[in-house]
Amino acid sequence: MSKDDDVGLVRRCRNGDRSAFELLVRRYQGPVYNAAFRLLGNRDDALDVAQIAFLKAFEGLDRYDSRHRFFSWLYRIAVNESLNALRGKGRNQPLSGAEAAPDTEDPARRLAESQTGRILHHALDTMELEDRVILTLRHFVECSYRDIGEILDIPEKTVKSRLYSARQRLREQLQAGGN
Amino acid sequence: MHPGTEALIQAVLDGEASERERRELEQLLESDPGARARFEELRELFDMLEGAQKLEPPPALASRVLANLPRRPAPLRRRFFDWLQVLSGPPPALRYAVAFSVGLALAIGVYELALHSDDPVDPLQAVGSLFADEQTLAPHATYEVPVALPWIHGSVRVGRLHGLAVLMFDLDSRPGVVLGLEGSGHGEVAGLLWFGDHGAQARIDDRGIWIPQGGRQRFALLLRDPEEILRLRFAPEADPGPGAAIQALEIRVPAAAADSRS
Repeated sequence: MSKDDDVGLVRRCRNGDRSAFELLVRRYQGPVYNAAFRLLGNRDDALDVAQIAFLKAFEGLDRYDSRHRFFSWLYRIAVNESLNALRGKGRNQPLSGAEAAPDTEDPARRLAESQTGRILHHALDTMELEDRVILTLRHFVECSYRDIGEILDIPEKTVKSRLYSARQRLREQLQAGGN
Repeated sequence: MHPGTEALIQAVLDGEASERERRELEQLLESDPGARARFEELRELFDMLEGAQKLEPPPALASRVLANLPRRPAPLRRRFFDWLQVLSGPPPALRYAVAFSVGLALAIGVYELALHSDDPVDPLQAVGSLFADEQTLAPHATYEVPVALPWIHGSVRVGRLHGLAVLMFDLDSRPGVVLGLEGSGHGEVAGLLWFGDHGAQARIDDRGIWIPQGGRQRFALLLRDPEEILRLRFAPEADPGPGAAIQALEIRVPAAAADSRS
């Protein structure tokens, strides 16, 4: 989705057009919800946090700087809300049973994907939050290096180095879990 | 392996490499078994991550967001009282100094207005200005909120200021709690003020006061002309299903004669 489309919708929202915000919600609810789910590991918490993120975005539209992309700003709110929720709980939440069920029709493939998903989810859960955030943004929200840099307010070079390190640690976790 | 090769492999797998870089990697993989092994290793990890299921957002998400949008993006009332929250940021000494100065200036302004103008003082504005110093509300009663519910606890202080009944809430709750006023005897809601550094998320909508974010919340509900007994109703979420643990709390509003600023 182009930046111009989003900026136009934001402008309409600021002028009191609530239907424009509905379009933004429907456009970005998937990534926002998935980001929250991957960070929190729980569907109910992800729903609450995604809801809060959208409401905070709506309330803060006056502060949105249209030189940046809207979704980067929105994802930043969602990540911060997820981190706040995790801090509020005082620990990383266990993810057992939280992995999404694959929707493939083939039972054998379903089982394999489900097991792989659980292993991956468990490995991610044992990682530091900073690693989980950057892996989530890249692989589950499909952000580019530039997007991640905007969301986390770090240079692209740092995005790359953090991603490399996080993947290395994820690989080590997966290997440790497989032994 | 050369760090540049590692960066090149990850850039290609991330879809961030240029055409020239992709060709460069292809040539490298043909001539360097170490680079080829690393590429395969990482591709396996990428395939695993990309293959992880993405969740469909529940339909309730959009409907809950849209049902709870405030009337306009940045309510003027909230902007007006933003300074109350700002006061909690600086060091205590500075905060008290600012609070005292602002409170004094506003109090003088209110006093001058009352003396020299025929226009009545806006009670909401006056109460807001005096809240820089919470002690201006002498509580007439404090109620624990409420009993035996695991998802909310705290207290309500109740008093009167400038002809308004003031209910000052200090709560710790889970997200999504709704606090309603039962019956029609609660008079007119004159406003909702936020305090402190705890997110100040409570807001009024058609159901009552909605607390979308968990954690500590401090806010004051101002009511005009309420009856003597108010019934507060605490629900764990916006649409509690049958059997939900809903608790009501009865609060006695002090008589108008007890108004500390009338």
